[in-house]
Amino acid sequence: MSLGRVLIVDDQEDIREMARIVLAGAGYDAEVARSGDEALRLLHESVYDLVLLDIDMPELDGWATLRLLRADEGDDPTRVAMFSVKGDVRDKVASLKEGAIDYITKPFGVDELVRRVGRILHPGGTLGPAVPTASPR
Amino acid sequence: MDTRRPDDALDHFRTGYLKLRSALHDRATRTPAYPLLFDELRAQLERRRRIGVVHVEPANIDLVESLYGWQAFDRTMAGLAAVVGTLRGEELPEGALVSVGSVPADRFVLFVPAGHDGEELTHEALAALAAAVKVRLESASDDEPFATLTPRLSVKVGWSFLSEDPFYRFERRVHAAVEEARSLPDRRAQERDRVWGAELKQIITEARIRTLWQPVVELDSGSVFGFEAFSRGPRDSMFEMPRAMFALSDRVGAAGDLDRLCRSAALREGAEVAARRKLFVNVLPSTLGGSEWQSGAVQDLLTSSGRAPEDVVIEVSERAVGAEAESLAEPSAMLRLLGFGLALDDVGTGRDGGEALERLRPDYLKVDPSVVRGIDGNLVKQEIFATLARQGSAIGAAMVGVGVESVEEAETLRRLGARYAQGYHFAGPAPRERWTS
Repeated sequence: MSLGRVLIVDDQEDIREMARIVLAGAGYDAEVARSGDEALRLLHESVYDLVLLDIDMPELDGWATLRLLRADEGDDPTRVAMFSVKGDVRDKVASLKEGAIDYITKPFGVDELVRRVGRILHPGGTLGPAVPTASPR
Repeated sequence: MDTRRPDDALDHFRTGYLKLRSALHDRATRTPAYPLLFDELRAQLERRRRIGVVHVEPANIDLVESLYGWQAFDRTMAGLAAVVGTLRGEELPEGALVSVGSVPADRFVLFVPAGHDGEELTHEALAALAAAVKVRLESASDDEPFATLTPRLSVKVGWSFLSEDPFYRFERRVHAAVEEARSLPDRRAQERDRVWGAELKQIITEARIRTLWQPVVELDSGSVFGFEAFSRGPRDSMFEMPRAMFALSDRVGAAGDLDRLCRSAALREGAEVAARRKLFVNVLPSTLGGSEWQSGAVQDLLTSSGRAPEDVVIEVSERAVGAEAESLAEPSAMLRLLGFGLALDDVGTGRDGGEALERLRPDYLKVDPSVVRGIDGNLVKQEIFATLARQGSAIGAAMVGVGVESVEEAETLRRLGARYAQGYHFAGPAPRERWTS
């Protein structure tokens, strides 16, 4: 049984593939998108439990993708966690303000990724302690 | 080499569409910006000479954002949009079109092609319609989701007509009509201020101000401790409402003059009204540090009427002090040295956070009626008052409950540490004859 459907959005193939393999191995239904454009289409076509969204992408970056996703969806917003090589506080605050629920700094360890995703999708479950999540609005 | 798949171009195109839509269609209100209605408006104008434009702007919504954050702003707009949606078929004719002024939305633009009877709108009909919209929206602001908002939401509603003129580009005609509707409330207000401002200045020149006096009662003994002076404009004029008069004086640059007039009238009459009792006199923060007090002019006035600075309590509003608190620390210390008492008024209305209290070190804290009213049955208000009383006792200030209307309120205030109170429960403001005879 799948623990949840996760979309990984990153222009860098190595990171994208690593995240996919790690999450698939942990029991998630993991899919990938190579650009914000592709992610927006996939998100329009079907429902994901969580989107891992890279901030630094060419053309449409993570912020713009998130804003357009919010503009495109209804009352039940998709959960989005941003990830980025930068770990600066301003980005973290901005991601909460834009309605993201977590911020993961790259490079991430295999265990850390599984733990973070687990805490978001299964708060209070055996996969990790609950994280305080910002209201998606 | 281009590594894109053929689908990439389609995805890219879709993103472009999303960008355009998110720029023209507001998410919070689920309402289009009015440029999306151009075609519809053009079609309407082929059938009639002109279309009514009603512009609806929440006047203090910026404050909502600064106090509660952008989410609250969006929620408020969404709530307003829901109300606006119900106007059609009621205040607005069925054919009315609803849009927002921009994205993200901070105002609404309603287009009204025809009146309720389907006939072309007259100026009077459109004005009446706009007034009805305003009433409805402002009364809705007592309901969810606005009920928790402080201050109450107020709405500016203006109107104009849109008509076709082949000499001008149509879109620009629409923008101009929207701007005209938007600026109408402000233009009206300016015109009113100009007329009323001239009248107010005339009143000040002729010193046509009345002073009313309200007793400040000592709660333990029930005896009259002092009197607060209230200034009123001439009877049966709009200046009879002090709030309107003082707000207007501020807008037309006559606040200092009006303040001086009210004060000297109060001090002159005060000797007669309140022998051996305190005179509470309201003063604008800006005149607190003014030369009149420091130079001895006020003391001279007092001496000539047989009173001393010790008999006078200068009241400033915590609301009015605001950011000026720091600059008022020195003048208020000086006034206290001269013997005057100092009272901070409107305490408990919120946004100060103790700054004025700390800087001015008042002798009296006058707690606002919004805290006092119904305090006997409201634990939150009791807690607010008790907190204020603790702050007061820390700086040695006596607590005064303002706006007391029942014996239960008075008793609760006394129990929570208030020494004095005023309000209709004891006596309302009245002319000096009432207190001297």
